[in-house]
Amino acid sequence: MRSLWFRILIILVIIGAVPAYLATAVLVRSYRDRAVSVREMSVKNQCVMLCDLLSSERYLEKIDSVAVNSQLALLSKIYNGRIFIVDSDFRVIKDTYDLDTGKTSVSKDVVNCFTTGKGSSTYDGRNAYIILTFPIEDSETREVTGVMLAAVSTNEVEQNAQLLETRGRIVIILVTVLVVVLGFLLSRFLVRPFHRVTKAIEDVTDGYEDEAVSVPDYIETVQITTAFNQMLTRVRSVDNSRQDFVSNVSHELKTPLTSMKVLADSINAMEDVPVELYREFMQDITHEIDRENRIIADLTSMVHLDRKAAKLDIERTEIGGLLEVIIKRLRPIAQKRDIQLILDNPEEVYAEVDGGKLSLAFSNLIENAVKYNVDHGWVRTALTADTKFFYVTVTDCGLGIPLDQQEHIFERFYRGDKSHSTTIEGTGLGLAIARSAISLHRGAIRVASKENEGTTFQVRIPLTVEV
Amino acid sequence: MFNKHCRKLNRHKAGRRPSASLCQKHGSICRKTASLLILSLVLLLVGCDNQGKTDAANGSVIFCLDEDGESLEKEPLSLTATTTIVQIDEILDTFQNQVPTDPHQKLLPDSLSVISRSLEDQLLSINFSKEYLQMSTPREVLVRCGIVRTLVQLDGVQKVSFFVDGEPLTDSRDRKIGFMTAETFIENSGREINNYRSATISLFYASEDGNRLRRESRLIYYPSSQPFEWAIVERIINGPKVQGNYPSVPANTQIISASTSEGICYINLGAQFASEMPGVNPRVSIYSIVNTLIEDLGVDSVQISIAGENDVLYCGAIPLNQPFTADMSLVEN
Ligand SMILES: Nc1ncnc2c1ncn2[C@@H]1O[C@H](COP(=O)(O)OP(=O)(O)OP(=O)(O)O)[C@@H](O)[C@H]1O
Ligand SMILES: [Mg+2]
Repeated sequence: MRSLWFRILIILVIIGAVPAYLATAVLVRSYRDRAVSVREMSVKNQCVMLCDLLSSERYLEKIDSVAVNSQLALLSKIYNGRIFIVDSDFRVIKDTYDLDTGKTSVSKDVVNCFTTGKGSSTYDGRNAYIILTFPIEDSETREVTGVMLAAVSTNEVEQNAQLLETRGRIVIILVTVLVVVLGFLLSRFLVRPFHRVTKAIEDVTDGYEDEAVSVPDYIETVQITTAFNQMLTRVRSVDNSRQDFVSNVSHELKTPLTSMKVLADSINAMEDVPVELYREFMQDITHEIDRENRIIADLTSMVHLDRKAAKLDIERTEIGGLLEVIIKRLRPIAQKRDIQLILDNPEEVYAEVDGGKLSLAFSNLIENAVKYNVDHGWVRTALTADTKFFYVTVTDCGLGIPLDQQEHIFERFYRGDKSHSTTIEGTGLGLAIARSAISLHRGAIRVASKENEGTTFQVRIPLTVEV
Repeated sequence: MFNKHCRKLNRHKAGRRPSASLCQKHGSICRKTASLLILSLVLLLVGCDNQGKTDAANGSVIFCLDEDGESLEKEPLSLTATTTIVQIDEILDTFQNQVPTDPHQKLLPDSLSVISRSLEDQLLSINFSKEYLQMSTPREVLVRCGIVRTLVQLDGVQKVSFFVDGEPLTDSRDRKIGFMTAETFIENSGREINNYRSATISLFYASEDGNRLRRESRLIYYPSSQPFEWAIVERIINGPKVQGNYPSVPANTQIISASTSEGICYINLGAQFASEMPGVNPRVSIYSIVNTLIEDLGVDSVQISIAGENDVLYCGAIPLNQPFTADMSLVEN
């Protein structure tokens, strides 16, 4: 019942059959009205003329006027009607059916005509007759001296109307049948492209078909297939990136293990190894374990951030304080290479944010700025705010990022120039984590950098997060 | 009393047009009732009065005017009196003090009063005060119709005539109105237009000398509820329209029944038919009916009976025990 073709069928039937039904009803009705009024008018005209003749012939005084009698008989015959002539004593002096002559008429129509001096006409559709009354006026005094009452049968009109009705009904039935049949075929035909869309999508789902779906019959089907194809592309790229990710992860996880194995093997292969050498090798192995741990920690936090429905622990937080804690933690590492950490926050900025996730992002940025810096360099972290957003800018005077790498640095596992990656440790997850945390807050991150001069990361985050 | 009762029954029959067999049954009921009544005069009186009372109780009506004063409306009437004359007085009283239900109006004008009334042989005469003449014609006609129709419902009243200040009521041309019955008035003129049939028929009437039949063709209309045979015989009784033709049967003849079965038309006429028609040959009377019916209906023969009896001699000469076939030799050409 909810099928489109069924609805199209119903709509076609309604717009096909209902007008036919209405048209018939209106036609029959207007025929009936028209025919009755035509009949009424023509009888009226004849009767008015006859009334004049009656008064000029003084028919009410002696009823043997041949002219009037023959006219009356004719009129009665033509219109299948009955005419009464009632004199001022309400006595029926002429009845064309010759049944009630001499009787006294107390009919309401007659009484009304005498009292008002005006004719009337009454149509009774159910019993199929029209009653018309006409005052017969004295040609000189204009006094009502009698009444002519004409009863005209409208049986004929009724019969014709019924005939029309029957024919109309047949037409309605034919139209309905035709519309149902045509509507059935047409609606089936109209929805066929949609079935084709379904079929094509099913083929893709079942794996028979790898190509993009194409059903160009309607704009609508084109829209559906285009949307579907976009989704398909997206799903495929997601799938690809997942594969990349898995291979990257396994590679990254394997690297420290390989180093550990090499270290362990080489120390096993040696004989009479001094304790100092053991200790040194063990220290290297511990270092590799730390590295492995860090990679796993990074991966875990990234998976947490990446999940679609990652929940934000929104709290009112003072951002300056948050940055201060991060810088305090990084200061020992910076001091080793004599890098100066500057925090520039002229005012307190309160925002409703998930402090834990944001500090992850900011610490990654500042950590990078330290890591990819030159000895004796500096890192400036600035905090500003307007009515809607607050801004955190991390600037360094370090190595900088070549332009062609800038678009890739936020990708997972991407690491810059091969030269640093060997000297500077890292997994390439830091910026990916930062970006995830920032976009969860509906914020934005931008990078500006020049090689060997320095890098600036600018972060913009709304003061309140609308969920 | 017995006669009156029988006549009453006949009137019922005429009104209801029963079939021949039904009528014979009625005849026997009439006779049975009569013998019963003769056996006990007291019982008869009680019975008659009871009948009158139940009639009055069951659906008797009194007329009043509608809200526009242009037509008559019915209202229920209940009578406490048991004899006709007291019932009449009661009705006339009710008319003068009528309080119809809203929005109907009282039938009589307040000023009008009844001076006297007399009932003689079921003919009622009512004498009104002078104010009667002050009514407008439409009002007067409605008043007349309302009073007559109310009074003739009583068993003991057949016809009513009006007097004003002792003088018989006349119309605007000084013609006497005379006795009136319910049939004197027609209410729904023309409203039954679709319930009539028409036919062009030949009718046979008497010639001037009363020895021959003369043909007269006419277009007639009759109610579709009325048998065609009845309508034809009625036209014969009502007499000719063409000059030179003369009535062939008594004008007051009643038709009791008229029907056709298996090619024979059965006509049952009232006793008035048997009375002598001066100057008309009895054969002409019989054959005016027979020839007319055979020619118009296409039946083979006609069986005439008088008051249900056909074992009689019509005018002492013509036996009615056999169906008649047409005799066209009587017709003038
Ligand atoms: N401040 C910066 N100056 C110069 N290069 C940078 C800076 N920040 C990031 N990069 C480049 O972007 C790359 C990706 O940085 P990201 O933080 O994602 O990875 P990582 O620092 O190498 O490893 P880790 O996961 O340990 O942070 C880096 O390898 C580096 O080449
Ligand atoms: Mg990093």
